Amino acid sequence: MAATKADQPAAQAFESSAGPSSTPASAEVFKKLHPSQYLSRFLNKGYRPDGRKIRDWRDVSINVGSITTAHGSSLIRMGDTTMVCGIKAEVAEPTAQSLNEGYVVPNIDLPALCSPNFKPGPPGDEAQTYSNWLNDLIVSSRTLPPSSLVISHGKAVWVIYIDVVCINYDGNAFDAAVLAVMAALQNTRLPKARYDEESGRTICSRTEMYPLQLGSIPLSCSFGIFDSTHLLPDPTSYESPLLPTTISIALDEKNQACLIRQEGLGGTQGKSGERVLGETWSLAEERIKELREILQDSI
Amino acid sequence: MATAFDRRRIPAPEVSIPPIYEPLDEEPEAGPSKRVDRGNEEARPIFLKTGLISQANGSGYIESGGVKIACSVYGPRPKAPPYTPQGTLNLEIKFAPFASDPRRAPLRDTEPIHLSQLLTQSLIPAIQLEQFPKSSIDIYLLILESDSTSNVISSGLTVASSAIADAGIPMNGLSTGSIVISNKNGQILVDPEENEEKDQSGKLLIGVLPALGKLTNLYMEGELEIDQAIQMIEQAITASRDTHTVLAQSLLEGAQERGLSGEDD
Repeated sequence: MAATKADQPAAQAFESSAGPSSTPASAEVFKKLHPSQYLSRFLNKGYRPDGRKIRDWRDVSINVGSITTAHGSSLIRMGDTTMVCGIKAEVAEPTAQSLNEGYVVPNIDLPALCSPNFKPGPPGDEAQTYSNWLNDLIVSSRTLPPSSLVISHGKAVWVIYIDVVCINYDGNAFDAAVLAVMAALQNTRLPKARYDEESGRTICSRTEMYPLQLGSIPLSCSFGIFDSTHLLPDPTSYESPLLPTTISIALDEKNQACLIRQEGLGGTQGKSGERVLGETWSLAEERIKELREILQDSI
Repeated sequence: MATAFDRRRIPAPEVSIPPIYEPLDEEPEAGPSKRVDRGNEEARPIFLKTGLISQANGSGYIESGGVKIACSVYGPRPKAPPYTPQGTLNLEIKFAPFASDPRRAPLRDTEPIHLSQLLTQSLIPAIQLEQFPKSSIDIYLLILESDSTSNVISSGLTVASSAIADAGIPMNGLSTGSIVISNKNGQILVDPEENEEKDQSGKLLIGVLPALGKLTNLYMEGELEIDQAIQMIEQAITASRDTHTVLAQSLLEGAQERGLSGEDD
């Protein structure tokens, strides 16, 4: 399903090219058979196949609190990529090693619904990888300190289940998931709970609710490098398989890094890996500033 | 007690229980239905939109009462051997862990299989599977929010029909579902809410092809007089016709938004 926005640059890219012909039908075939050349022709003209400029990010919208069965929820769209995050709290006993700590359990699911490339069944490699990054990010940046989740010392603590489900997978799932989680955490309200010594049960109030005590809120920005020449922010699902190098940077409110990850050969022609990483960092700073404003407005 | 350890997910504590709330001051009393915003024979309003999932061949999203479901259809696409003269219909229902109260832990959730069966049965007569030898049509439903199971089935059927039609797969008709209960006061209630269902003496769930005037599926439980059962079936069919109108309208709007052409697929 080609976006109408993309038609114009597509036509431009083909007019000047020495392609077999310039009818839209053959553009569609060319796109499928020679994805790398297809992308490269766009980039040489300064555009991406979805119609944005090379260094542009996709539009983001955030909607919070629409799922009533969750304690907190968010729905975010990043271009066509759509993620829903729901947060549910349950009560458990703390472990013997850490009597004064609750549990935070983040998971990302990329179900078969969201893309033709995924199969039904347990989480695949990609989903497992993202879940681990997300867990690392939340733990290392102390977004939700486990010590803030204690109901009664050694007896009862909160378990915060953070579940992110992708509905439409058009690339850059990790950035979208992180944004969805942060929006949902800020939307979460837990009931006031008290531990009853006699019955050994935890009783929650029906009326008194309070927000989570959140630490820093990191947000992530991802990039891909095409053909060792072009640095592409926010890659789509069409571009992703063509990008051998990917970089993700997550920054907190003070623009301090919480997670940096580069997979594949760094650097572009004429620039060292460090310089490219520095460049992505400053691009990420700008983008995350915008994202924070959108996040603030959504609450 | 510990079940097989799930290595594919971030570990959670072995046992955790949903919050227990303070008892309510007054229990809501059971009595004749007191619907204020709609009549007993009226279903709740439906929001239905097609084509939201760009990666899929066809998709739909429905909100009805306390239910939110996204559905996508992939196919017809090539199927692995053995050869089948007819297309194969695969349907999977998945509840998001946060979609119900209490939370549905992955792997421990057994309900979707029986629901998938019911939906598949209702959809097979609606699709012209004989046109797709060696192919499969994969339908995935993701429940984002749910109240009662029966509402999930009837809304699920409606949204699946819309997604199949949106994918341009030839159908005999649009299959829609509806639920009717009768309560202990002998009232017949169409599209019951969760608290009304608790008070039921009998429940009827049907799948209908309203355009052809055919039933695809009927599931009745509880204790009912024959006359009452027939009356319930009639009411359910009437309700499905209304849903059919909404469904057809949203398909039309979806097609118009895309300029009524199948060229860009």
